[in-house]
Amino acid sequence: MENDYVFDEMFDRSIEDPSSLRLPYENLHAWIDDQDPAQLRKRSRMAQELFQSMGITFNVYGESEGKERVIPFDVIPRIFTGSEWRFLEEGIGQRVRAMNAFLYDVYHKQEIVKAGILPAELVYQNKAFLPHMMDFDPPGKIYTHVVGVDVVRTDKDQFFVLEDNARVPSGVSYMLENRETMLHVFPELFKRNRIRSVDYYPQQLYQTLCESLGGLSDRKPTVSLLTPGNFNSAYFEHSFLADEMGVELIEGSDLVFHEGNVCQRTTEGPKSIDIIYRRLDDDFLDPLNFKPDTLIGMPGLFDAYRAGKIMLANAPGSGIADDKAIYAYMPKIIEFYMGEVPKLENVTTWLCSEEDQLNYVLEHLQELVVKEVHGSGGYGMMIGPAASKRELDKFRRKLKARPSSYIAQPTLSLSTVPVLTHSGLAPRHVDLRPFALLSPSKIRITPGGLTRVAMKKKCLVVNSSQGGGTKDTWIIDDNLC
Amino acid sequence: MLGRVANNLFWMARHLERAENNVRFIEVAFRQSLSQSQAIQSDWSDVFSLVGANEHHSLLESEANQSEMINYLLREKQCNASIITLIYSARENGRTVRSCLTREVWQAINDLWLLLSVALKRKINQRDFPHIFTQIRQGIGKIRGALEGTMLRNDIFNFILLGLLLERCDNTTRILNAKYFLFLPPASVLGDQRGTSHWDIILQFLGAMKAYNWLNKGDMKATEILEFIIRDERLPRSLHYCYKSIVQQLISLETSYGNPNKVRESAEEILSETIMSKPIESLLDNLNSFLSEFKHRNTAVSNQLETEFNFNPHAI
Repeated sequence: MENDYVFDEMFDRSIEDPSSLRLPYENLHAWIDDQDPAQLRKRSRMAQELFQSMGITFNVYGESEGKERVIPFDVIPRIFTGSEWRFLEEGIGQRVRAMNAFLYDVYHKQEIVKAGILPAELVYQNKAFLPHMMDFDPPGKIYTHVVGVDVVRTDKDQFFVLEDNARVPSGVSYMLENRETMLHVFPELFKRNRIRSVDYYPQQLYQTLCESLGGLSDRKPTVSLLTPGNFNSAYFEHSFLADEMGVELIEGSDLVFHEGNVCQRTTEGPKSIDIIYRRLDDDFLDPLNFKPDTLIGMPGLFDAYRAGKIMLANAPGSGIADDKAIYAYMPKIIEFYMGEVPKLENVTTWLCSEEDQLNYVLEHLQELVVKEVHGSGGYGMMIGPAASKRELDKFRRKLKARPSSYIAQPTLSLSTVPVLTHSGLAPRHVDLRPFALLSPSKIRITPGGLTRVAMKKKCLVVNSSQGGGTKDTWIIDDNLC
Repeated sequence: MLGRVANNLFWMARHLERAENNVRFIEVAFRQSLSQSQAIQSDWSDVFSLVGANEHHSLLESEANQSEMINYLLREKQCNASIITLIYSARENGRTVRSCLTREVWQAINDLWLLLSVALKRKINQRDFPHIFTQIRQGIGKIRGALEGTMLRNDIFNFILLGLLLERCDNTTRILNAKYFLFLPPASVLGDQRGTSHWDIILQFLGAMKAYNWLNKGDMKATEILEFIIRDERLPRSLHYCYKSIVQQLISLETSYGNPNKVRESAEEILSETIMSKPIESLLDNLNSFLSEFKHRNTAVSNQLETEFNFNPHAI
C-alpha cells in the first residue's frame, strides 16, 4: 500500500477524472449531473431540517448548553454492489458466529485458553470479563444478539474490521432514518436504482430476541427496551426502536419484582416481562451485583437473569468479545471455532502490554494510531501522522505509565466517498457499521448499515462525537437487474 | 401502559395548557396596560400571582419596567411559570414518551420548542410582543390540532385529556379568584357603564368575551357571567364542560382496563355537589369559599389519579 494512496469509492482515480467513475455510481452520477446545484443544496438543507424537526438528535457528554445536536447528514449515498455486499456479509457472519462461540467457551470450559491460543491473563485480568457469568447458559446459548462490526475499506477488494461492538451497539436508528429521509427528499433516485430495503430491521430484532428465548407454551413473549433515560446520548434511538418494534420503552424505576417475576409497573398494576433488550452497560444493570451506586438499573435483575426469570440481550459479559486487546486475537479465534480462514481481515494490532510490542510502538509512534483499550467514541485516541509534537510526547508518557491500557494500529488510508459541499462534490473519509442479528437458528445481516463520514477534509476520525456525519448506505439489488 | 408514561403524558398536557393560559394572561395584561396611566403600568403583581410566579417578587420590588416584566415571564429559565420553562418541560415530557405520540404531535411540540428556543434567546422588544404571543398561541394550537386529528382514542389520549382538563379548571378558578386592581380604572369612574369592569377582564382572560356577548347581547351581569363560566357546558373553559369531559375520560379508562376506578366517583361528586348544586346567587355571595372548595377537590382528584394509575415511580 502506498502511503498517500486513497481509494475513492465513486471515482477510481479522482473526482477531477470523471472517466474513472465506478460502476455502482453510474446512475447516481448521471442524476447529480442533471441537478441544478442550488436546488441540490436546497434539498440537502431540507433533509437536515427534517432531522431537526423530528428531534433525531444525540447528546454530547460534557456539553451543557444546547446539549442536543443533530448529526450532519450528507445526501450523497454510499453505494456497494451486490457482490461487494455478499463478501462483507459472509465475513461478518463468520465473525459474529465466532464471537458467540468464543463467549460460550470463555464462560464455560475455556478450551481456547487451554489450547494455548489465548493468554489466560488476557481473559482473567480483563475488565470486560464477568466472573458472574461462569457456567451459566444464556437462553438459546446466544450472547450477542446484536452486533455492529466497524469495517473500513482501503482499496477495491480490501476491507478491514476496525472494531467490533458486542455490548450495546448503537447507530441503527440512523441507518433507518437516513433511508427514510432520502426517500422523502429524493424519491426519484429510488426509481432509477434498485436498492435493498433496510426497514424490516426492527421486526427482525424482535424475532431474533423471541427465537433466542425459545417457545413459551402459552403466549407470545413480552419484550421491553431498557434505556438509561432521556439524558442518554442515544435516547432518540432507544425511543425510536421501541416504537418500531412495538414494545415498551422502560427505565429501571419502572421495574419491580412481583410474585417472583420481573414486572413493569403499569397503569393497570404490575405486568410481567420475558425479555429485556437493554441499552445500558453491564455496570449499570443491577446495583446489587455490579456498580453499587447506580440508580438506573434494577436491584436484583442479574439474579433474576441467572434464575431464568428474564432474558437479557445482549448477555452480560459479552464485552470480552469486543475488547480491544482480544481484538488482536480475532483471526485466531475465528480459526479455532469456525475451522476456517477469516474472510475479513483484522488490522495489525500491537498490544502495548507486551514489552517488545510497546517498544515497537514507541519507536514508530508517528506512523501509528494509538487507542485506549476501554475507550470508545473516538475519545482518548491519537492519530500519529496528524499529531503535534506535544501530543506525541504526551502519549509517549501515557504509554510508558500504563502500557496495558493501550493498543496501537497502523494508520489506515480509509477510502473516501464524495460529500456535497458549498463548492460541489469533495472526497471525505468513511467507515461502515453493518448490523448483525444472531439467534439460535439464523443470522440476519441488514443489507446496508451506518456509513459515518468525517465532514472535515482529510480527517480520519468519523465519530459523531468528534463532528462526523452520516450517509445513507445502498446495496444494489443485482438479483433484480 | 407504564405508570411513568401516563405521568409524562398527563404532565405534558398540563404544561402545554398552562403555557397557553399564561400567554393569554400576559397578552391581555399587556393590552390593558397600553390604555392605562404610567403609574399603574409598573404594578404587575396581579399578573405574577395569576401565572403562578409570585415567588419572584424581588423583580416586582425592583425598578423593572413593564417590558422587563413581560420578558421575564416569557424568557426566564429560573422561573417555573415562564413560557420557556413550560414549553421546555412539555417537550421533555413528550420526548420521554415519544413512542406514544404520533409523528405529527411530536413534530408540532418539537417545532414550537425549536422556534421559542431561538426566538426567546434575546430580549424581546415591546413592539414584537404581539407577534410572539401569537406565535406561542398558534404553536400550541397546532399541537392540540395534531392531538385531535391524529391520536388514537385510547388510554394515551385519556391521560393527555385528563391533564389538560384538570389544568384548565385550575386556571379558570385562578382567574375567578384573582384581584384586578391593576386593570381597573380609578374608583371615580366605576359608575361608568363603558369602563372596564372586573368581569370584563375575567372574560378576556378566558378568551370568552365574544362568546358571552353573542349569547347575552352585551348584558354584563355578574350572575350571568358566573353562570356562564362555571356552568355553561358549551364553553370549553367552563368548570362544567371540563368536569363532564373528565368523567368521560375516566369512564373510558374503566372500559379499556375493565376495572372501575375511584377517581371517577370523586369527579362525579365534584360535578354534582360543587359545580351544579347551589343557586348561582349564593355562589356569587360566597365566591371565595366556593373557589377554595373547588380548588381543594380538584387537586384531590389529580392526586387520586396519580395513585390509582401508578404515576409515581418507586411506588406500587
